[in-house]
Amino acid sequence: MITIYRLFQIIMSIVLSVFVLYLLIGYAGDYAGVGRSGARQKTINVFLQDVDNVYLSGNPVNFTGFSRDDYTSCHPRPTKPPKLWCFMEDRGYESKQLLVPVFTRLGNDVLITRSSLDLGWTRLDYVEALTGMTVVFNPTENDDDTWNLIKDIAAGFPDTSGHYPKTFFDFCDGSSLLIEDAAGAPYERREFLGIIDTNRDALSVCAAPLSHNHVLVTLSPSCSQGFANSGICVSPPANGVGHAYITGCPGNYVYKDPADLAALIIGGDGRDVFGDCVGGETWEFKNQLMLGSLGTAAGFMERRCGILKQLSETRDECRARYQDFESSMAAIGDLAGSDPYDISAMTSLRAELDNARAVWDSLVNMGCESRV
Amino acid sequence: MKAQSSIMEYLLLSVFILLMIMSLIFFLAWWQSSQFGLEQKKLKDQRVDVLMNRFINSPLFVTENSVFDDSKLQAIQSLRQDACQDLESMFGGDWFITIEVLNQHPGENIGECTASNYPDCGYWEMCGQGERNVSRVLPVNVYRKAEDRNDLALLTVGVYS
Amino acid sequence: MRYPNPPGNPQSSSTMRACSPMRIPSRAHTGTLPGTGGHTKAQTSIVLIVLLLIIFAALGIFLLSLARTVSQEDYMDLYANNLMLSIMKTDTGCSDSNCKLVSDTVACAFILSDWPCGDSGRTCLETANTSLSEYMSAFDLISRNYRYLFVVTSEFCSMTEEGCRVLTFGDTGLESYRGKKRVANYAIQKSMAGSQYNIKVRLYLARNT
Repeated sequence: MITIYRLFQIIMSIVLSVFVLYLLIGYAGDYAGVGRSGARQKTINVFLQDVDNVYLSGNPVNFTGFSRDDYTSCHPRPTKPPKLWCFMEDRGYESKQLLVPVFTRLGNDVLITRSSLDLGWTRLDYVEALTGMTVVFNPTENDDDTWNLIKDIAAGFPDTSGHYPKTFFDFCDGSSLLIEDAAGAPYERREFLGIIDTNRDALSVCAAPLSHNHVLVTLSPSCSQGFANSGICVSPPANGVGHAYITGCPGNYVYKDPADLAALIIGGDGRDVFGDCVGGETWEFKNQLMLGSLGTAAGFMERRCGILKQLSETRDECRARYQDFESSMAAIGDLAGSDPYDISAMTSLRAELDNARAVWDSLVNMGCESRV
Repeated sequence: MKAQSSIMEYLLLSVFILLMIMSLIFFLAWWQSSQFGLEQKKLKDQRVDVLMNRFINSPLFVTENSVFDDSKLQAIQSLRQDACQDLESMFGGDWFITIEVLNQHPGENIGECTASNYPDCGYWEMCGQGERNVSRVLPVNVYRKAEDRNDLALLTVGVYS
Repeated sequence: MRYPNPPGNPQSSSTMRACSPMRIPSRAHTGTLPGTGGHTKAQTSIVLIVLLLIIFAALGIFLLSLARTVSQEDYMDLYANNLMLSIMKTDTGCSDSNCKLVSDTVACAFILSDWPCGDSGRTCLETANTSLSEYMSAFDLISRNYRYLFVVTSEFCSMTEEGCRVLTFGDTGLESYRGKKRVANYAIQKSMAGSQYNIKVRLYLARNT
């Protein structure tokens, strides 16, 4: 016959077991559905931490966190505030506010690098997070403007020597891709820039079959909507500013520096789940952040010039140049708030930036300032 | 009597076991809330570290890594809230920084900088608000534009709770 | 349990068994009388419960303390490196180019310790000593909690190598200190008296015990 003590043991065991099971089922129920989503959100957060670290240090980092999941698209959107939006299996994930300009072309293996726009008096950094890709140039004209533009575009991408995955550069002439090294691969940035000056020719419109890792960049004065078969079409610049078009997307994008072109090319001609052009969104995001930073930097510099002009220790020759620099900063501050689609405003901005660089160089040469 | 005392013993034991279960529940609840609090503190510490690294490298403030330009600091401080709003879009919000010169030269002041006493001053504060914050300090330099000289200084970066 | 048959009730031989000793049930199973085995088991259970509670509390405290330590390490490394950097780049107040910055003065003190620093009336070595101690004491965190030692060597010599010149500033007891020390490094390239020198400065920081 069962004893009282045994009965007591059974009852208390049941009570404890029910309690433990309740806890476990409760937690499992809460986190089962959330677990996978949480893991994906965490991947995005860790990715952005790496982006921040690269932005600060300039040291390239290899990120493989996306290999666990299949992201349909993942790119920065020019929302207020700007965020990174990723889509996977009919679900969207958004990041915290993006404070760092980052252009993304993501895959299982991503190399995160930092590039800079050196304006002389300041520097604007941006980050590129790229899976393996090849930028394929198709210049339809053979002139200095076109080849200088190709050099500028290539300079806006990272040099991936010694790193992985690679960013390659190639030319397309009609139905074939031209560059092949001893291993059958196109060139990385350093080798590519080395051959540009010695191998120049106008090429026929590209009709070669390209994979999703290739981005075609057509350079032609006839660029317009629908001119190129795919990718980006870039018209030659006038005074450093020009138009660019994305195949299949409306929009007349204005470029004024290599970062504009890098944003368009890296974003590419694909569309996200909202139907928006990824290249266009990336370009708008770039201008939202970097024109904002430019305006802020110019405003601070303008005030600084006003302070330095009044200092008794400032030499007279420096004082005069600070006056010129102050006017230039005021103009840049105003123009940085203009619509980036407005080509005349962007042309004026580019002119003022060039002028500011020249004045700054003279301030440095006169010993009034040191290099940034 | 014997039966009553034996029942009492079991009752007492049951009470203790129930007390143990209750304390386990409270412990888990406390553990979760302390973990949450720790996570929040860790996030704030991380944010302070990231901000600190950005400020000591940003061309808006420095001439080179960890060398702040006093004329740039003066310009930003003089713009007050306008500057804070502009900086929020680059660095996020709810933070403050102070830079305090530590080595005083004979005949010079290192008090708070205003529009009238620059460059004879040595303390700048930007975007300060309220009291409760998480902050860290870091040794840096301040380049004195007027005297062409590097002074020793302390950077304090904090985020508000 | 079987009792032997009373006389007059014979049993069949097949069922006859030897007497087995009578089994007395243990009092602990019924827990009847106080002062016997019943209390012992209950008390043991209570002790176990209390032990479990103590283990939980200790685990919680241990985990909490661990979390605090990790983030502080990175910060102190950054602090030490910036401390070295900022002190080396600070002006000494001397106009002589060999004594303008603290790094210049330290390099001068290493190469030619008796070199006069402009019109100050002090040598490089004296200026370096004064500047380093004055600037290190300007930081509350260091002056209240840490001991420090600057060790200056040529880049191609290690501290323990025979015949290598070594210059030190600060608490020389740190050289043989075996506890936890933070280290920050700084390299100086200096031209003096027509020669090029590569000098290495190392800062050791250790908490006051």
